Amino acid sequence: MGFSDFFGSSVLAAAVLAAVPLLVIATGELTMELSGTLNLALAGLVNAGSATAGTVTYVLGNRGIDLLWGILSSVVIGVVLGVAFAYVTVTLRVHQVTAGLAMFILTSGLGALIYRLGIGVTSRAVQFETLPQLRIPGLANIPYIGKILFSHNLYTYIAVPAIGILLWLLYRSNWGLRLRASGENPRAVDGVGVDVFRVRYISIVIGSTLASLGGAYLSLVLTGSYSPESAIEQGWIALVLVIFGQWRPIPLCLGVALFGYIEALTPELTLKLSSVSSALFLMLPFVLALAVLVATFRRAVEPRSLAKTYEREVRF
Amino acid sequence: MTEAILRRDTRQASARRLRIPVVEIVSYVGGLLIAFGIGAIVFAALGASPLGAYGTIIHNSIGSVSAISQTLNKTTPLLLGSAAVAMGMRGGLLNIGVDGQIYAGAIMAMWVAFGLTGAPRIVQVTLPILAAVAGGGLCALLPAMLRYRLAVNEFFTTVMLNFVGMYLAQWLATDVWNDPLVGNAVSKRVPSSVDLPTYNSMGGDIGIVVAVVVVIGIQFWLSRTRHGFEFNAMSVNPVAARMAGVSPLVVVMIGLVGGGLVAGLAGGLLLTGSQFVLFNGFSQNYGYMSVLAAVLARRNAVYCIPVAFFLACLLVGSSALQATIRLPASAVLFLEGVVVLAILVGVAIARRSKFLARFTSRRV
Repeated sequence: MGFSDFFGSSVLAAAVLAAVPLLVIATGELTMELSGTLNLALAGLVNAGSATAGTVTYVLGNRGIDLLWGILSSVVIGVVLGVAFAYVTVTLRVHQVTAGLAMFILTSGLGALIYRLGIGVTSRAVQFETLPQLRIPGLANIPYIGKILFSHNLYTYIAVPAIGILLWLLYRSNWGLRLRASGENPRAVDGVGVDVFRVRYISIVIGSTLASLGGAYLSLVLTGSYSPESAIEQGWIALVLVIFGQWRPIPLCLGVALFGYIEALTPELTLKLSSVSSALFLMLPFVLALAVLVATFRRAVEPRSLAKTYEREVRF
Repeated sequence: MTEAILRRDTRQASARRLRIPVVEIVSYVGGLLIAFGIGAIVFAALGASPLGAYGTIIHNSIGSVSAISQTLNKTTPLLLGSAAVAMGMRGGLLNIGVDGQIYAGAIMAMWVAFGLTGAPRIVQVTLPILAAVAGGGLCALLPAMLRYRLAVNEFFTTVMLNFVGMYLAQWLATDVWNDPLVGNAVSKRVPSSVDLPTYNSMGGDIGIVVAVVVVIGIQFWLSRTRHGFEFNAMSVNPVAARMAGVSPLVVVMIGLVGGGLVAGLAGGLLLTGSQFVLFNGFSQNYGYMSVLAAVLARRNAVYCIPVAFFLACLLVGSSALQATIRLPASAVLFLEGVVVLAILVGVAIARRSKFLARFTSRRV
């Protein structure tokens, strides 16, 4: 295996393709965690978004324009599930971990159900229309870089800058300061007159929607089919990436790039080293994630009120 | 002095659990009704009569001797898995790696089973099971040590090990222990001499007996022995427990490794009792269901027995619906999630209502 197998423009372009959903999902979880909400249903939300987007696209006719409705429907399901989770954990003060796990199990079954209700039973997995490749005129012709960065699709061109803006808002704006403060010291935030419950509601809805949108990418861009297993795997990896990123934007993006690269490399390696079972390559990201947890957990400083319900009346 | 505090705290904790939980009973019944209602809507949307679908579930899970045998076979992993999760929860640890530990147990059991040809029957039956127990424990040892030494949250490590275990099983099934005559995706069958004894001709194996005995033993151990006392003390009042000389190692060893041993046992019993071959999907989300079962059973290993049986009925019954109305296999997860969320919400609403709060016990 030579240089181009590891750093050729096609491998790196595939890495970008695989990294985009991780970026969207992980930023969603980051937004929730910064406000003090650990949403363990993340993988299930990805699954539900993926199924909804694909099913709606297919049911409406599976043409180019239906992709838009598919993506919008994943926003809707993300908002609905986000509000439900926020109601249960913020308003009703159910323990986030318990509620998150119940929600995860609910949503990991919901995906297949939506698919079955919308599409029905087919002998083979149906193929959804995927977003067309959109080469940016001029920029796409730059050798090497052009193929890696500027030969993707509309989703990527909108999502990546949007995530950049969201990260900037989270860490550099007044709104983001309030949100992060709600995850550090909600009592102090409440004391200066900011509604902690509202801040947490908003962050949970944004985060759940992003997770669901990331799922839409999986079925409408990456594979063109719905696979609950891979949606759930992506969700868990994204959850670990937030720890890997130590709740900071730059390390998070580095982690996303690393795991996107690994995912892009896997099919190549499976082909080249055909004597090694593909199952071992599929295991690779999780072994790496374990190593990453061990290496970064100590240094990572989580938001101080992460996974703690905010209760106004409690004395301490 | 500290010992007196600990005795008081643990006594209070158990006293709180003993009060008659009116609101909980109402929430449980209400949660089940809501879930069944949503289930009925789903069945109707799939074009089936809801009553007929529930009839199918009941008929196929407890309607005949062979149905009950199948349900009890599925109860075994759910019961042991939920007891494993409940053990961790009592110590404030969340073990959602039961799936991974089941895979680890099954892998070890299979490995040992292939090397035992010619040994006496009693050895052939018990040794793979013991190996499975060890395998599950080993799989939980890594998260336990990481938690104890480096304070890495056991939650994330156990989830990652689920996937590692699953793909390890896939690798072994498709590569090392594969027999092309049996199929590409599954391993060879374990030698039939290691199969668990059955109690009837319908395939009901004695795994369920082992599981019930183990679970009662766990409950006894946690509530009546020194280790169990230390473990409970650590979860109700960690500071006082540390002062009294309880080692935090006890907590991770009982809560995670102990749970891993129990989950590994589930993997072994599953392999030699009812599955006989290894494949990706060997553990049908038993781990996630176990977490729900442990929450429903309120971290009490003995309460896990009826809860696990109920979930097994749903699992077996809904797999019959896969054939008749083509219900997706994972739809049962959706229904279970609805049950648990509805119950959590019911308890939370009751606690927030001043009138109902008088009937609520404190712990969930």
